[in-house]
Amino acid sequence: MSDSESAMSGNKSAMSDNKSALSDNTSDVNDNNFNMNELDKQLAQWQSAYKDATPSVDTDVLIKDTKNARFKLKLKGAVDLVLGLAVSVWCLTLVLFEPLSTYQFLLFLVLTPIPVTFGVWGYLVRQRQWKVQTLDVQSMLSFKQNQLKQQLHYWKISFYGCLALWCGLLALAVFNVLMYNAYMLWSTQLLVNSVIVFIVYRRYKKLADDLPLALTKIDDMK
Amino acid sequence: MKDTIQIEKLLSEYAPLMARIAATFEANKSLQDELIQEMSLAVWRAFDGTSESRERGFRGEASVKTFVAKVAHNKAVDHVIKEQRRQEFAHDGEFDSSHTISASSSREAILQENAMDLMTGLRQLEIKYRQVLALMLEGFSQLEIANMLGINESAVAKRASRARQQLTQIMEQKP
Repeated sequence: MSDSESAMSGNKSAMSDNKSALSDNTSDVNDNNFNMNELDKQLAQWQSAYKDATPSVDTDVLIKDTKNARFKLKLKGAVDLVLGLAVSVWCLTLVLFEPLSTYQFLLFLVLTPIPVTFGVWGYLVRQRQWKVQTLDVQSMLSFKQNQLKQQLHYWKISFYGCLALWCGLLALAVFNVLMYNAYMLWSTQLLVNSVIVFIVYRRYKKLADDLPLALTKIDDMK
Repeated sequence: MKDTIQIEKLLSEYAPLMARIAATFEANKSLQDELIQEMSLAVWRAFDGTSESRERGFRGEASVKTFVAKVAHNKAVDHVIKEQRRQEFAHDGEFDSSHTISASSSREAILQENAMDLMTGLRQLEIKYRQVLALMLEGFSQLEIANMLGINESAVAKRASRARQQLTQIMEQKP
């Protein structure tokens, strides 16, 4: 009997503990609900303030300006393509119908596809850049990072190309100065080309120095 | 011609959305206007020529509003990157209230002040938090935001929570 009373007393105590725990849980749920309501209320207030912060836009002017910008963009693209094509056709005409020396023939033969290829390449690059605007933000940022790396790569190739041309010019200059004593002409050419090589190098160096920070900044946006 | 009229209607409808996004990322009024125009042009290009756009731009996988917001956000982030590179981007630029509707009563003045405080606070957030919060304030769901930003929903939830904490702190620090 005594054991059973003691057991009942234990059960009562456990029930009381459970009630207390239940009460704590209810209190937690109420607190959570209160916090959620507060958060929702705060978000609703911010949403309202955000809508109130809408800058006024003259849509007629916006549409007119956008139309103009779109027209200019299309015109620029068309002019690039047509000019490239015109130069290529002119070079081809020279190659096919004009009496040229072997050197001139080879030169114009090599030059012929370059302008039109450049025009088509420019068109494709622009199309790709527009397409990027419709991707998600992460993909767009990755594209930007690749673009920065590619830009550095192009300047590196340009620098090495300019340097190689400068070395060729130096060899010619040395030869001509030694053989014909044409000092003034070749030193001027070397000087002018040195300035170009220096500018290309400075640009490449600046991009190479800035690249890590630029990539980190884009990474931070991801 | 029919397409042009439809796109013009679309731009008119979503100009306020683009303007808000531009204001979230750029404080300077003239740069803001430039950005809105760039956004409009990008949206137009994306919808340009119905058959063409199905191929490369809007593929009907999202609502028009979601698509416009995505393109506008891309342009805004692109703008921030360019401005950072030009080192002219002013994070603490003043919000130009002259281009919002002028307040005619004290209540409206308070609302405008709240709006200005919110925008100033938003511009102080990191870009990744600013984007999520701005899209939430536009009323997009977490799934829509995740699709627009190219991240998963749990990342959106984390960023949203962090953004709200940061913005609350910024707003509380204001005098």
